[in-house]
Amino acid sequence: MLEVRDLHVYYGAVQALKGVSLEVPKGSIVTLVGSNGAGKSTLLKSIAGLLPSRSGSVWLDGKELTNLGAEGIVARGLCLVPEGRQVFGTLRVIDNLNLGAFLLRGAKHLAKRQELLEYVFNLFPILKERQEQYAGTLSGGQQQMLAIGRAIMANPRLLVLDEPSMGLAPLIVREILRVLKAMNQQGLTILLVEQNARAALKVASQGYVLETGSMVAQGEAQALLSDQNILKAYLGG
Amino acid sequence: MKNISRRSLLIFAVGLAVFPWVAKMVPGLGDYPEVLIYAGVYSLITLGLSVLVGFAGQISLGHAAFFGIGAYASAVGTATYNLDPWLCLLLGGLVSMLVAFGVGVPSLKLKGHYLAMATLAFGIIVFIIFNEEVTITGGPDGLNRIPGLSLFGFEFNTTLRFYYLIWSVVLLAFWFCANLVESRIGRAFRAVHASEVAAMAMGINISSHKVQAFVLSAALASLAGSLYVHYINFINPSTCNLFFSVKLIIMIIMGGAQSLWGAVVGAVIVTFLSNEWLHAFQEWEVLIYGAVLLLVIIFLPDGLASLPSKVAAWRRRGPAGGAS
Repeated sequence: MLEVRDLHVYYGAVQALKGVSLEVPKGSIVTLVGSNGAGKSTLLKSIAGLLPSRSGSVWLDGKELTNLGAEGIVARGLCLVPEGRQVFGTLRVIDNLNLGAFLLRGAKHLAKRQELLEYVFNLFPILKERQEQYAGTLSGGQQQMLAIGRAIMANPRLLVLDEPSMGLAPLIVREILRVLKAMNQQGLTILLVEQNARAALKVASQGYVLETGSMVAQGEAQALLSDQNILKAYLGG
Repeated sequence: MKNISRRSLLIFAVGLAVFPWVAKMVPGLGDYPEVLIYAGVYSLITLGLSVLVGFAGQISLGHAAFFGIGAYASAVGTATYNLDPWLCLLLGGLVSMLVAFGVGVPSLKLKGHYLAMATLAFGIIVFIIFNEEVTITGGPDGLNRIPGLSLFGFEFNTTLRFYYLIWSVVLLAFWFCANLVESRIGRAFRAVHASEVAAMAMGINISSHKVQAFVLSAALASLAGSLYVHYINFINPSTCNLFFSVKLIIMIIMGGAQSLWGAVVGAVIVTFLSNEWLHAFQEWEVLIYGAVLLLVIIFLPDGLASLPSKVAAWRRRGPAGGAS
């Protein structure tokens, strides 16, 4: 479904991605793990059009996304849940969710928007309870749920998440991974970046390991989990 | 218009309508309607700035330039070329919007201090043009004999008539901005303000929205400039200098940048402080003015418009201010 081919990304003169390739099959959960500064967020930002790449290409369902811009990429059905949640703190929860559906404008999408909102409230009932509250007043876990819900409102076919577990209690991480798994079983394809590699590999079918801008390992998630060398080198023992 | 209730806007409108009659009867308030005309002119600009600064999260230290473009378009068009004042007002607005687009596209890529510097430089350049293009603008001496406004034969030639004209326009602009900030575009403005990364990830074109807010605020500033010259019948460059740009920012910060009421409250309070209330302190005026600004910023960082809700919260909690 998603194909990244030989992507090179620079920050000024510094090369952050040195020819990265990756594939996310339709209906799967693929996780990308690696230590701090490996280039995980850079890769996701580049895929989502937030960061220009110097060479290489990104494809979604056989159509090229490269240089389409963030707006065009969301419209094609790829939505990023950015690192650090980035909810709109000064807006109400419901406004945050409506902003997720920013490109589904007008009366002809009204039914779709309502259906998506219903779906998000089903996934995260707490958001329905708190819909009139300012997003900045939510707890970290609730903000992460809102960030995911907001992305779902864009009606993506491929959801890309950048470290949804960041700074959250283990119990909440488990809950969020459970919801991701459930959404996946209903047909959503997911690309998940995590530092919490073990937890991520447990829900994923395939995994990639990124180190200083290059892919150093890839394979079945189970195989990566049981590979002692990889565990030691990249996943903290 | 959910956050700004129709009712409070209606009460405000009625208050404005009856105020001149009250002012006539209460001694000492005789000048107030005239001062309120200036406050109305400034309110038009600060409403646009509130959308740009408070909602879209950008900054401009050059909005005196758009006020000036509107003012000079009306002044030159009517006094030199005898064109219809309303036509000149529209043309001035159009020119301002085009200039805002041209300046906004490159400079709104900048953030924070850099954007402030870019808009400041723009304001200074426009100021120099007003000063130097003597054949068109009259140079430092400015232009006079600018005619007044009339509509279907009704002349806005008294303070009272102009008072009603300007505040009607302010109320219309208020109503427009209030609807705008509650719309899809207004939500996008606030999203850009809150997190550019997330706004982009949602497919919001952030540069386009920043430019839209900038162009809107320029149009309102230009409108204010056009109306102003038809009241004062005179314009010179120093009316639209850098200090005026800064004063406009002071107004929205005093009133509260995050609310449209703040824009109007700030414009009114600052206008009265510098034109009316502080004259009693004579040579101490500037010092007191500075002290008032400081006090508001320290104790009411969300501006004077947040005072009622602060007082309400204080009364609920009790004077001790502790949690209970």
